[in-house]
Amino acid sequence: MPRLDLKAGEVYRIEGLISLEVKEGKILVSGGLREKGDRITIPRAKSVPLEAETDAQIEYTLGAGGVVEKLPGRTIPSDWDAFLKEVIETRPRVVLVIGSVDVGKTFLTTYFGNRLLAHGIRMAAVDSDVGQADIGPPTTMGLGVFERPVAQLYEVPLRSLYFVGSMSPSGHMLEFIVGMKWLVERGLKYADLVLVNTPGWVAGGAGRSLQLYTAELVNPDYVVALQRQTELEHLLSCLPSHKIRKLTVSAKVRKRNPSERAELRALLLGKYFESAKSVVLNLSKVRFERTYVRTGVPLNPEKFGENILYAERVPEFTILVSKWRMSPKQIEELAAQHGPIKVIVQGEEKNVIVGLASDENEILGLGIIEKIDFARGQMVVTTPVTDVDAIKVVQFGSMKVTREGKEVGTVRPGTF
Amino acid sequence: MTLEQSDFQQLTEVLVRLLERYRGNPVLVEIILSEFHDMYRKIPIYPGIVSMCLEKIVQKTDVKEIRPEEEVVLKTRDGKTIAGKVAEIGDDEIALGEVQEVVVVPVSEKVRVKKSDIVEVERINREILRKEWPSLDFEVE
Repeated sequence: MPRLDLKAGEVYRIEGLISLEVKEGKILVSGGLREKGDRITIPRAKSVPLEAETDAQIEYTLGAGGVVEKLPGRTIPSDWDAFLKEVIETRPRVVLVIGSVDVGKTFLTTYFGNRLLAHGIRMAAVDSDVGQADIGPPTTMGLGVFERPVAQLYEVPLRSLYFVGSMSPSGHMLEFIVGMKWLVERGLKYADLVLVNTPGWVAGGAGRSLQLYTAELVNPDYVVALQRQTELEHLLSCLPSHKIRKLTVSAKVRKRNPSERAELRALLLGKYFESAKSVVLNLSKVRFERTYVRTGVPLNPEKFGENILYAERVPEFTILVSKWRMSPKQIEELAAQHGPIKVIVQGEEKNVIVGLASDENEILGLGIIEKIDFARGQMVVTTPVTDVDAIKVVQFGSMKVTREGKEVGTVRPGTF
Repeated sequence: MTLEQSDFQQLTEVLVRLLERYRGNPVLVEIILSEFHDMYRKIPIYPGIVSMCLEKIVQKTDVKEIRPEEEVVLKTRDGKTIAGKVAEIGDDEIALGEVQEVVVVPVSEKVRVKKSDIVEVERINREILRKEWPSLDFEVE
C-alpha cells in the first residue's frame, strides 16, 4: 500500500476512488480534522482538498479514476477563513449562502461545517438543491447536522426533510420558501448555527423573488455571496449591506452540464428506491395534501355514468375519476348538468412521486404511486419506508418517476 | 404539489383549450389572440380575470338569435368562414358589413418564388423542446 509523507502546510487534491488511513500526524480533509487511525474513502469522480495540519503520514489505495495530486498552495480562498473567524467571534444563528450554479456552495458548506466543528460550534446545513441534494433524496430539501468531520456533504447525518415534489424550484416557490423556513426552525433546535444553501437560480423575476423573499423570511445574520464576477450584485443591492460578506469562488470548482445533472439525479433517486417495496395505504387512515382529491364531500359516482369510479364535490368543481378518457363533449354535457367538472382518468396517478409523512408532517420518506383504488379506499405506493403504520400523510409531488430513478413525466398543475 | 400556485396556469389552460377548439378557424384564433393581447396589456396582474373573459369571447349561438350590429363569424355549407358585422336580417338571408373571408386552401404541388420577391424569411424550428431539453420531452397522451 503506497505511503505519503506530508510536511505541515502541504496541500494535495485527492480524487476518488481512493481510500486512505492517517498513520501519523493531523490532516484536514475538506477542512475536517483527521488524526491517527482515521480512515476516509472518496468515491469516484469526487474530489476534495487534503491539507497537512502537522507533519503527517498517510497510507492509501487508489481505485478506478483515483488521483493524488500535490498542489502548489491552498485552493481554499483566504477570505473563507477570515469569515469563519468572524463567525467564531460573533456567533451568528443563521447564515444564508447565495450563488449561481457551480460556484462551490456545497463545498463551502462542508468546509464551514467541518471548521466550525473543530472550534466546538455545531452547524446545521439546509440543502435546497432539490435536483441533486447531498442531504436527502432528489425532490426534497434536507437538513443535516455536522456531528463529526466529513469529506463530502452527503455524509452529514440527515435530521429532517421537506418534500418539494419537483426537481426545480420553478413552479414550486411556495414549497421552497415554506420549506426553507421549516428547516431553519428545526436546525436552530439541533445546532448553534444554521447555514442555508440557496438554489443557484439568481436572476430573472422568479429567481430574484426566490432569493430575496427567502432572505426576508429567514432573516439571516450574514448573507454570504459566492460570486465569480458581479452576477449577484442585483440581489445584494436589495439586502442590508452590513450583513453581506462577499467570498471568492474556490479555483477548483467542478462544473456539471445539464446531462450530467440529469444522470446524477437518476442515479441518486434510483439508489434511494433500491430497497423499496410495494405497500398498501388505507385511505381512511391517511390524509392527502397538496391536491384537490379527498378534500371535499364524496358523492355517489353512479349518478355521473357507468364509467365513473369515484365522485367528490370540492368548492371549485366536482372531481370525477373515470375508467377511461372522456371526450370534451361528454365533459361539457356533465358540466351543464352538475356545474364545473374535473375528470381524472384512472391510472393517471401512476408514477407520481409523493412525500410520506407523519401526522406532524415530518417526512418519513418518499413514495411512487402505483395505483389509487378509490372504490376500495386503498393506495399502493413503492417506498423504502418500513414503518407503514407511521404514514399518516401523503403529499403529492409534480414529477413522475420510476423506481430506477428515471423521470418519465410531469404532473400538469391542477390534475389531482 | 399538484395544485396550481398561480392564475397563470388557468390562463395557459384556457389558451390551449381555445387553440385546440378553434385551430381550424384562423378568423376566430385571430380574434381571440387580439382580445387576449388587449386584455393582458390592461391587466397583466390579473391573469385569472383575463382567462375568464377569454372563454366568453366566442359563444356558439343559433342563426335565429343573431341581432343587427352584432359581430359574428359564420361557417357556410360550402366550407367558407365569413366574419363581419350584421347589417340587415331578412327572412332568408343575413347581410354582413365589414366582411372578412378566410379560405385556407392546402397546396400540395411545388410553389416557386423568385428570390428577388422575398422581403422577409422566418425559419421554423419545430420540436424545439426535444432539441433543447431532451430529458423533458416526455411521452404524453
